[in-house]
Amino acid sequence: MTMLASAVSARARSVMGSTRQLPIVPLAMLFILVVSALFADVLAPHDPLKVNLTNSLAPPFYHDGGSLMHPLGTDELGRDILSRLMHGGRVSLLLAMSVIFIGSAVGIPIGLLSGYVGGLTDAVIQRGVEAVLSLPTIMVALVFVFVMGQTYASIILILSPFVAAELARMVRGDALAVRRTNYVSLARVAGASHLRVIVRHILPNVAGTIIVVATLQVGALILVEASLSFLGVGVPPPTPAWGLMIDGGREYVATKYWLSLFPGLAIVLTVLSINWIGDWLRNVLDPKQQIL
Amino acid sequence: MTQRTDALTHETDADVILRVEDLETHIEVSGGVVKAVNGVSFTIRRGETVGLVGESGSGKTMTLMSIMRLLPVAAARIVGGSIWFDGRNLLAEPESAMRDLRGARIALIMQDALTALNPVLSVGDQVGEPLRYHPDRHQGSTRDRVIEVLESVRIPNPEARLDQYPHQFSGGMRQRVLAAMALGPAPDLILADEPTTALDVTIQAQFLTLMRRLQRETGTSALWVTHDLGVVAQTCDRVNVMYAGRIVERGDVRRILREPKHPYTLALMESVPKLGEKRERLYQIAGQPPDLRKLPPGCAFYDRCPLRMDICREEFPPATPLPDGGAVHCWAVSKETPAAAVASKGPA
Amino acid sequence: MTALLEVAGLTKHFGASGPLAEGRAVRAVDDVSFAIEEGQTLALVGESGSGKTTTAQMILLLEPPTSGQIRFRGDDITRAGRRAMAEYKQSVQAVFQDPYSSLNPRMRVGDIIAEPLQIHRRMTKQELAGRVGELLEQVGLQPAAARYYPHQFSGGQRQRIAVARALSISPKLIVLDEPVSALDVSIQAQILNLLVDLQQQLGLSYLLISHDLAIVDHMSHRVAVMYAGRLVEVADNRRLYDRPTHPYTRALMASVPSIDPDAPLTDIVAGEVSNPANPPSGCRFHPRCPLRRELGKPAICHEMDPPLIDVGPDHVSACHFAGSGGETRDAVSTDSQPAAAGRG
Repeated sequence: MTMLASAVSARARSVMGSTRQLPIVPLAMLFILVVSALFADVLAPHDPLKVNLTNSLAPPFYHDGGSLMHPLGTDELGRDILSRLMHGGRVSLLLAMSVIFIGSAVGIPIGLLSGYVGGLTDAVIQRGVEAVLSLPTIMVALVFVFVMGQTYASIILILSPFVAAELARMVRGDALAVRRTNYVSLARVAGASHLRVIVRHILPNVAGTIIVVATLQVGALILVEASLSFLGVGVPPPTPAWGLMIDGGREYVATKYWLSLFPGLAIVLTVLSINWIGDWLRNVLDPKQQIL
Repeated sequence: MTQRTDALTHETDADVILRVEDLETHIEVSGGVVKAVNGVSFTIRRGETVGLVGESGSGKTMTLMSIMRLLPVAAARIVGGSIWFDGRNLLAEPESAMRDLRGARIALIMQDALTALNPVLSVGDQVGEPLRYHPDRHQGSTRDRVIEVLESVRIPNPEARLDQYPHQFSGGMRQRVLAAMALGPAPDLILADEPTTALDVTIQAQFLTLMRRLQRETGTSALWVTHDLGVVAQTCDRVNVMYAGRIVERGDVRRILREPKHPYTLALMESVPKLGEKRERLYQIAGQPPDLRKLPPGCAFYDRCPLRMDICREEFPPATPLPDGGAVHCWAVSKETPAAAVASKGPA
Repeated sequence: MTALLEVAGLTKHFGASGPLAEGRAVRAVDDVSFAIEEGQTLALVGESGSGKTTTAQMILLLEPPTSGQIRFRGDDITRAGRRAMAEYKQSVQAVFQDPYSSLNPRMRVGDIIAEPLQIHRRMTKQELAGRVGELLEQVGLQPAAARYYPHQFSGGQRQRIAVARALSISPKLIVLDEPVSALDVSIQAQILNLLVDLQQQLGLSYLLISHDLAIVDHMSHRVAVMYAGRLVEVADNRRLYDRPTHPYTRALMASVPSIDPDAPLTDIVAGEVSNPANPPSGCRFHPRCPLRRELGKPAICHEMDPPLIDVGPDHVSACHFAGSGGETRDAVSTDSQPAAAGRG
């Protein structure tokens, strides 16, 4: 029935608008965001920290009183919003990447061990993972950063376990399934050591899940970071951060909406693009699509 | 409809419960169109069992699903031909008419009872389902009929087992539950898709014997899809052999099994090891089954056929009638007996 | 001459540890003993619940036996040191039923075949590639196939790749667990012929697990029939098919649908295999046994589990009445086969 299976996936593709095709729009959006974040120093038109009280609360260029000098307007201290957006993006990105990196380094091996060894080890590890996953991320992070001090290190430190736990859970599920396959049994029959089986057989077959989960976690992390800075426990000021910018514009929301709107839009677009790409990756990497 | 008598088989319309004519079913896949059923024609008479034999990719399952108009994917469509059931062309009927027929007059028995039965519904519920949709097909209460049909498929103690769930039954009994679901509304025609392939051989033997007896008692016709020639011998009256979406040979079961005419039929029989027969090597058919997206205009067996000729590649051979009322589609048949040619060329 | 592989009293009970487990263990395999000679094929025949797959898993060291011995060339593997274990692992390989899950979808075919060599030998990249090419040719594939991934091959071709991997470290015994059941009929013949050829060329032994009596008949030298975890009959191939003595063996043979429509299925047994956690007392087959019914249900059938007794040269059977009530009856007669036109 492989013929039918292929037909099913072909149908799914056409219904979902060619899910195998590269999602150009989100990739483009993400590309712009990443480039502007990474090269903010060079690309930003102004110094994001430069205060200029004479030009505070200037509107974006499409309003009366706005200009292309400050295309997205200025905030209450006269700082250019566009430049702050770009620098803020860099902060978000770097933070997210660091957390993912540490989270993976811890979470993937735990998940592999749990899934491969099974039994009591698995049970114990999973209880730990579940405990972490049941904690409300933002509340815990809030308390931790408040207590330990508002530094990059403390934020990264408290967010990493959440990513690690999520990865451990997903990887464990896949590892359990792969462990039962015939090719793993046959590798053991051929004399492969446990380590060899994990590295050469389990890990490559779990990679798809890892990539998808990690990608989706980036989006989630950006939201968490924005929430933390909105609440005042994010990256230490005066570094611009999207959440912080939204918070700063709270009093002006009715009249000078651009202070909060643009950073809000930036968050929405970034997370949307990342999730879209994550979904696409999941479809592309699904081995069931590999027929004919 | 005017009374017709088929020139080859001498069947009249009254004899025939199902007539498939030039059926074509295509499936869209990445990379083209698969002609899963590529011009299939056959009949099933009242009370008889017809076999549809072939390997994977032959189109036998798709033919069966086309008859029920239950094509498993949206990408599959019936693009041509007609299916006459008791005088009505099913392909011209609206879906509401098909719903009236399905389960009531045409029933289906699938291959794997474990996945065909709903694990969260009781067996009594599931066997009763077709009866509830078609209450005019039985007398008395649904519950009584369910017990009656479970008894007929030899489920011991059916009253007690009505409320049990599929996982509480063994594999063989689950398959018999599937048969009970099909037989409850006393259909005219049963379509069976490899119903015994997943069963142990002793359980299969029980099932085959049971089905044969029930069919004889009720006069139900059946279309039996399988790849197992032994099952064919035990259940079928006539057989159609399929290859790459087409029927290549058809005829009376005894004739086909004793004197197959088509090189594929013969090769198939030669390549299966038989109990009690000692051979050094099995005859193996060279090559691989064809890519259904790229079928040649002629005979699809060309690449693997020891008797191939140029014309085989260009034109699909028409039916050569055979004395048993069957036919074979092979250009070489008239030249020399395929058996001798295959034997002289030896195993591939 | 010591047999290549010998199992003695091999037993596997699942869930059997601890005092609470008594009576609730699943007795998958009970006291199974047989021997495989060099260059020969022993077939383990049975239906579901027979224990044949679990027996194979124990021989492959994928499941630890609950008790019993596995002897390779006379040495007890179950109590062996690392050296003997490693040698055993290299001498015994396997091919499993499902060609679609037997090959790691993320590895190239060449790497899959080379893996056993990488584990046990030191070879340069060139040497490995050379050996892989040789093996691919040996199983009827092109050496260029090494670059591709499993999903680019058909079921039959994947099974060939699985065979090539099994052959890579030149084993003495290959466990074949239903090697062709998942393949199309026309491909089965190709693979079966390949296996027979390889056996002749390389002097391989096979442990063939199968439910298909015809395939077993074609390929095996000796046959062991299993039911509900016990051996019920062991004999040379020809003897078993000509003179089956155990009622279950006879029932099995009678259940195979013959290709002769005029030889309908008769003498089929009713009922199903018993629950392995709660087998019947005495002989496990007794509730379904037609011979027991014929003989008026003698008490010994449910009182005593029959041991394997000699019923002929190299022929044992686990039935109290083995050989009675049908010695003269041929279970498989060659005149029930169709006379195919044109065959000599």
